[in-house]
This record gives sequence, C-alpha cells and structure tokens, in this order.
Amino acid sequence: MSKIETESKRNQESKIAVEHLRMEYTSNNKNFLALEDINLNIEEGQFVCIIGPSGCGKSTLLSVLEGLYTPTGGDVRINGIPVDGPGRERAVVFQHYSLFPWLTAKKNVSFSIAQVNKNIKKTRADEISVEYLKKVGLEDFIEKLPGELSGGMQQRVAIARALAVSPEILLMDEPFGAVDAKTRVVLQELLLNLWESDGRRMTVVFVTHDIDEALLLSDRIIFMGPKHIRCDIPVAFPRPREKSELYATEEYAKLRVELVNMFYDDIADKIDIEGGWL
Amino acid sequence: MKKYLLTLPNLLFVVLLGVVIWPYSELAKIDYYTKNPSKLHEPTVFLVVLVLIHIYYLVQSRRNNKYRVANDIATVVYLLLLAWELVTMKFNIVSRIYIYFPPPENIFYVFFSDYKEILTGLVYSMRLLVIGFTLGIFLGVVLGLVVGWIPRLRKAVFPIAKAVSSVPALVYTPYVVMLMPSFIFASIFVIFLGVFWPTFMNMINRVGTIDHKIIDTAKVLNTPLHTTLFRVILPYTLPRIINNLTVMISVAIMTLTAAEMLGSNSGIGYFIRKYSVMIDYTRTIAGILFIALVVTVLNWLVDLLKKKLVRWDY
Ligand SMILES: Nc1ncnc2c1ncn2[C@@H]1O[C@H](COP(=O)(O)OP(=O)(O)O)[C@@H](O)[C@H]1O
Ligand SMILES: [Mg+2]
Repeated sequence: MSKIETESKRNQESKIAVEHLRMEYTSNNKNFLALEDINLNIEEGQFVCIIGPSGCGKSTLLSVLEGLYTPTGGDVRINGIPVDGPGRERAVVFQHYSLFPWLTAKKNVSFSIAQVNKNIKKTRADEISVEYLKKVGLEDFIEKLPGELSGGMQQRVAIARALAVSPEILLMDEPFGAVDAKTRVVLQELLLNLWESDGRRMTVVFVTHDIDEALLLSDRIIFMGPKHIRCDIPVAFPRPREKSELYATEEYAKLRVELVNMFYDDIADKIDIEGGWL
Repeated sequence: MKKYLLTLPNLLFVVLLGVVIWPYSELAKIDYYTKNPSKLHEPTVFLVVLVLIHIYYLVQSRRNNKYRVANDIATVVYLLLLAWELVTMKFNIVSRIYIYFPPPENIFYVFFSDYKEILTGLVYSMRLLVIGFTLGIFLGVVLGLVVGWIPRLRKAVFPIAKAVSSVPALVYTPYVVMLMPSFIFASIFVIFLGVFWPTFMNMINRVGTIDHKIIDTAKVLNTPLHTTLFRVILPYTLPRIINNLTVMISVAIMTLTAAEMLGSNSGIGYFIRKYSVMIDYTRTIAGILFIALVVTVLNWLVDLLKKKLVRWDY
C-alpha cells in the first residue's frame, strides 16, 4: 500500500475502531473470558458513555483501549494504527485517585507533561500545570499533597493531569464513582464545561453505571451486557447542556425510562449473576 | 508556673543532686580486695551530665503534647541513676563486687579523662560505618529495584536472598576478618553485607508487591522504564527504606563492634574489648554507654531525614 493510500484509509477510519475484540484473562492457569466479539467504532469528537452492570467487562474494554492489556483476539485501532501499549494521544482518569502520593498537585500534573514532552523545561511544565489546575478550580491547592486533598479534589487533579497533555482521546473509568453525590454533580458539570468549551472537542470514552450521568454527558450510550454490547443508543440532546433544562424535557424522561427498564430487564434475566447494580 | 515546678522529675533531680554531693560511705573508700583506698573520682562530670539531662528534659517537657512522656522518661532515668548511686557510693551494698559495679561518678569521669581515645575511636569507627553502610543501602536499593522489577529474576533471586539474609552477619564476621587482607576491608565488607542483604530483600519484596494502580498510572502517562523505576517506584518505596534505616544502623553498629572486637586496634568496639580484657569495667561500661549515645544520635538523624524526605504516608 502506498503512503497516500494509507493516509486516505486513515482518514476514513473512525478515531477508535474495535473489531471482533476478544479478551480472555489467564490467572493461575485458569482462563476467564471477559469480552467476546466486541465491535465498536467511535468517531472523532464524540462523547461516548459505556454503561452496564458491574462485572460485564466495561473496565476490561477500557483497559484494552488504554493499552494496558493486549487483546487475545481481534483488532483495536486508534487513528487507524493498531494499539500497542499506551500512547501519548490518549489520557486516562481512573476511578481511584491515581495520583502519586509523594508529589504535590502541581508536580503530579507537570510529571505527566514531562513524560509526553521530554524536552520541556521544568518551569514551563509547572506553568502549564498551574494553568490546568486553575481550570479545574484548584488554584489554592497547588502545593498540596494528594493526602491533604479530599477525594473530589484529587479527582480534579487527575482531570487536570489528563487534560494538560492535550490528548486527542480521554478515557475515563467511573471517574466519579467514588465521590459523594454532591461532589459528583459538581465534577460532572466541570467536565462538561471543559469539554464543551474546548474548540478542539476531544473524543471521550466514559465508563459509568449512573444512567443520569450518561444521559447528561454523552452523545451516545453503549449499553453492555456480560461480555458483549447489547445496544447502541444515540443521545441527541442539544449542547451546551444545562442540567435543569435537560431534566425538564420530555425526551429526557422518555429515554431515561427506556434505559432504566433495560437495566431491570437485565436483572430479571440474569438474577443469578454476582455483583451489584446501579 | 507552679505546675511546671512541682513535677516528679524536678523533685528527683534535686534529690539526686543532694545525694551525689552528700559525703559517701566510708566503706566505699576502701577497695574490698586490695584494702587500698578506692580510686573514686570527683562527682563533677556526673553532675554536669545530670544538669545536661535535666536541661534536655525541661526543653522537651515544654513542647506541646510531649509533657507527660518527657516526665515519665525523666522519672525512670532519675530513679535508675538514683538507685545506682545509692547502691554503689552511698550504702556500698555491692562493695564486694565493686569492680563489676563502678559508681556513676567514675563512669562519667571516663568521658572527661579518656575523651581523646574515645573520639579517635569514634572517628575511626564512623569512617568504616559510613562507607559500609552507604554502600550497602545504595546497592541494596538499586539492585533490589531492578531485580524486583523483573518477575523471572525476582522469583529466582528472592529465595536465595532470603536464605542468605537470614544468617546474621555476626556469624561470618570472624571468617571474613581472617580472609580479608586488612581489617579495614574486612569490617567495611561485613557491615556492607549486614546492611545489603536485608535492604536488598526488602526492596525486592516491596517492588514485587507494589500497588498495580501506581504502575498502571505510570504506564498510561507514557513513563519510560528508567523514569518509572527511579521516579515512581523509588519514591514509593522510600518511606519503607527510611523506616528500615533505624534497624540497619543497629545492625551496622553490631557488626562493626563485633568485627572490632576480633581484630582492630582502634574504634569504639575496640575500646570496649581492650578494657574488658584489662578488667577495667569502668571504662567498659563508659564505652557501652557511649555506643548507646552514638546510636541514639544516628537514629535522631534518621528521623530528621525522614521528616525532610517523606512528607506523605501510606
Ligand atoms: N485481571 C483479571 N484477571 C482475571 N479476571 C479478571 C481480571 N480483571 C477483571 N476480571 C474479570 O472480568 C470480568 C469483567 O471485569 P471488569 O471489566 O472489571 O467489569 P466492570 O468494569 O464492567 O465491572 C469480571 O468478572 C472480573 O472478575
Ligand atoms: Mg469497572
């Protein structure tokens, strides 16, 4: 294939392309099939939420996209290039605060900047770091260690750290799953504002088991069942979204009921499967 | 103000001073065996030490939430010193075995009369200690980091390291001292081994069982291997390393003094051996107290280092 053909193929390809993905864990000589024949295309600039009961393989799918696990079958391509480990076009926010506890908020963010930009001066990295910490509302906590910050604040730092490297793709695995309900609402709005106000529009893959969160944030909801994708639901509410306005619309209520019913069908079907719901 | 004056340690301190200044027993003046006058020293140095201890107590007890602990510790120390003083000098109860139980006046006097020999010994010992200790910690940490990181290497090396490190360095000290061309080499080497094996093993263990979230985070941040090792895993293990330094210092002092007792001609361990062979237990005990003091100061330095380097906890 000539260079031009490769280019054009890249151009027509989705930002993220997953074909016949299969993921089998091997531990203690036992195999466990976590994902079977997953097919998924995510377009550039899309905000996609993955939703589904716990244990169905959401984190596994995301780990494959992060490049932490090598799939045991199928293809995963980003920008048309097969995924081979983590890459600098992707940034990740985990559920559990994954900050380095020995670095201050500022240094946590500049550490990440220094990894993708090897030649950057320390002072410059710190400047960018402070700029992003301001964006997430932490200007007064720049020199604090993660241990001195609340869970919600730590997650803000994690978001700043992810955004500071200007990623094309943001991968988030239940990022607000461990914070209290009030903080969660604040963080959802923060993320939504940051994403909507950014002219570049990152591609976001966001795992959650909160239906309202998915409806508020996403352009599209991927509903997963055990090991597979059950359905793919477009969420066409206009942007920028305002929570109170959105909740008042009829479309929202309709879609929400549909999704909730799907969740409960699932429980009725697979009542014997372990794990909690919602 | 009254509350501060009327403490048990203040009371005991005054009593102790009085007892020390009080003329001592007639019996203590005569050596039980030789019937010659005993070599009893003026209590000046002991009194100076007491005053220093009390100043330290006063400073510590003024600090927030240290008040009770400082009181308790000072009380125990003063009671012990008081008992020692009474039993030896004042009532002469242990006079028959006087040479085994020298009075505190004589022992603290050694720090004045023999200070040159003690300081020379200290410098000599510290040189060996610092070299062996630093090498042991440094290589233990770096090699432990690398070996711990590679699962195959870790699984092969860990059982061996565990077996070797469970043998106290003291056991092979005589052999190493005999084997090595000079005593200096030998003692540096045994200190090194004594510190290296536990550090190395601890490090392998810690790196092998590192929280995988930390590693995953480093991976998704596109951190290259050497940065992961030295800027992620190393700081992650640092609190543990520093906590272990206290134990390692004891191990190093133990091996060093043991080595010095075998074949040195200077050093604080040598000082103790020389005088215990000469049945001069006054100087022997002074040497032992001095080692306790040195270890205390070293541990205090470790604490300072910890406060400076580790602002975070697990
Ligand atoms: N490292 C692993 N080794 C073996 N099994 C795993 C591993 N990680 C996850 N699993 C299993 O794979 C299934 C899917 O897990 P996960 O992707 O974490 O689900 P979710 O994120 O949807 O809750 C679960 O049954 C889980 O027990
Ligand atoms: Mg999960």
